[in-house]
Amino acid sequence: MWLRLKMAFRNTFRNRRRTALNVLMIAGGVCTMLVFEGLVHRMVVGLRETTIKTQTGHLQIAKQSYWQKTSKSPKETLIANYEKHVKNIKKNPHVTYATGRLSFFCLLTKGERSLSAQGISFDPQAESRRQKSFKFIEGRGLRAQKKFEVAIGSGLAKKLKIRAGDQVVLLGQTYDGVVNALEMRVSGVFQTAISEFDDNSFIIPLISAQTLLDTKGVEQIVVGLDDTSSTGNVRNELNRRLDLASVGISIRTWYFLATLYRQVAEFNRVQNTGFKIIIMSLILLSIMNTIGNSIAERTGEIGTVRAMGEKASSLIIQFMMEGLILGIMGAVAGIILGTLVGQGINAMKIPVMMPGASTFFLLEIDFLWSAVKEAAIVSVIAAGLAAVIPAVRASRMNIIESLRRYV
Amino acid sequence: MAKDLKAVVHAAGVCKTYKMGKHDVAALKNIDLSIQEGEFMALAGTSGSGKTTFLNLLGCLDRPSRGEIYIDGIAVNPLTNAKLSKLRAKKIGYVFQHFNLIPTLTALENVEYPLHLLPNSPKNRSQLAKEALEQVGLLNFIHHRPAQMSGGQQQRVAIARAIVKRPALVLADEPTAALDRKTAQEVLSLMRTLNKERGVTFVLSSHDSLVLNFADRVFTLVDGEFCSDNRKNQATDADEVLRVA
Repeated sequence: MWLRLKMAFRNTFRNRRRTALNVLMIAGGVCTMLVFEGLVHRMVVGLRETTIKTQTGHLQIAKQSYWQKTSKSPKETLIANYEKHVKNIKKNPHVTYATGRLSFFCLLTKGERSLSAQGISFDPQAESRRQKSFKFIEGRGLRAQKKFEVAIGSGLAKKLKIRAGDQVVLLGQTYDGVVNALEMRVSGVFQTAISEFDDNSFIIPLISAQTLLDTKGVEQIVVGLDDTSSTGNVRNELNRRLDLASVGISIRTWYFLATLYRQVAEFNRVQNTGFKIIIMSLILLSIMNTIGNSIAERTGEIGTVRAMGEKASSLIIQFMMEGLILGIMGAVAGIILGTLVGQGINAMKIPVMMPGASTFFLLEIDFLWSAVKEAAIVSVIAAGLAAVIPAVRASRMNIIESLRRYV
Repeated sequence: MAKDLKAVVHAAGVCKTYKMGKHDVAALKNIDLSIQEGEFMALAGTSGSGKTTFLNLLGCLDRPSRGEIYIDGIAVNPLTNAKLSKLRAKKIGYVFQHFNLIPTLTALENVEYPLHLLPNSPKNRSQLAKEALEQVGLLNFIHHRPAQMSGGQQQRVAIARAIVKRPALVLADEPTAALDRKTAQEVLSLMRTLNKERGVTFVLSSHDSLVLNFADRVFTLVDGEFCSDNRKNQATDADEVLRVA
């Protein structure tokens, strides 16, 4: 085996230029896989965290009737004694905040212009992190001590020509069906990564929403965690400890709630798989061609060793080793190249606009060990497989015909 | 022909026919031959006489269309390809016209190669290969690659490679064709010495009179048919045939 390995190495370097081109080709494939996967991962994680911070939180707790939209009146969906639940939820060490939310539709009016908009209310103090994910392009965010302030999404503000410092009126309906209005001061105009949200939404303190809707309850308790990966564990712990099901309350995770994220993640998974298949095919064809050429050049040598009694299966192993060596060299070079390219792109801080987003992202490449492992395995397997067909052909060569092509 | 199972080679009624389009072309017709252990035999004939075809059959690289071949008492015809490979690895050594050394291996590694195909310890392999190289006078060249050696030296390495596993039979196809006269003589002398001192059985195919002069026995083919089988000191009909051809 040692001699075979030695021969495989030496044969690999027999035509250095061809080997270098092959290694470069594989390295290019591996590098592209790493950069592409790192980029997609960064974007998917970015979307996930944005979705969690600006919309869903890590967990949402609400009545079954709220989730299933089965109640006869909206009032029945409210959690009346939510503060008691919040207190209990906060006992979990992973919970960074737990607070109530109310969402509602109302008429937002400035001067003579009015538009129906969605109000998102939360506790600015408890969900202070949430405001960090809003980019205020004008003015500032909500302040805990300022009850009658509102921040408007950039698209909505543009349609109503609202600027920070303006006075606006919210005209809505209480849970008992009475029309109510609040005059609010615009603290700022914000942008998120989701332009649809910016075009239709505004945020106000929970207490203001409760005043407008004339309630002390909340629709949901939103829970933020220190780490997204602990979502499942915390949900299970809360379910177990608080026995929420007995009071008709259930917990939903951000993953369940973030439909867009799920669709994007699934799309990227399919896209990545297709991309890997293309790269693997390119590596396969390239190595198949190289080994094929190598066999054509070494026909006499193949005849000689076969004449000496070399088994056909040993010849196949020999050529597969050569393919694997090319694959390993290409994978190592590709991993180094991919890491350098990724770091280079990160250092350049390139701004890009995602479709549907209202703000620029920085083009960033994540370094993923899982991608490195996968790229290495894909390239080495492709290289090994690529050698099989020409190797089998070589092993079946007629010995006498081969010997005529002397070494 | 009666079976001579003690012979290193026993061929009886061997025919080889090739298909050329719609026609069958007979390359060998009904050849009988027995070669005893320790013989130094030349297979003579002009180009196209069938000597290489016959050598290929004796070397188990091809199968006869008809007839029987025994190598060291083993019937070749019924063997599978895998068993033929084993037989070649164990019983037959080859010396080729163009040396056919593996260019990526050193002289020592080239000579060790056939031993890798047989059960041998690495230490034993190296020892046997060095001994074989010493016998061909190339112990100082063990780390040289073929490209760093002359034609004569390469052919000596090829001879060492052929004898290292102590085969029953060494076949040499035109072993001097790619060498100058002086080197050819040296290589033949070496083979002769190995034959005499170690009892290695050699079968050489050639139409070179130098090779024929070295041989104890000259088996001549003409147009795929047996022509003569002369032992040394007999008048060589073969030489006459070659001269006329």
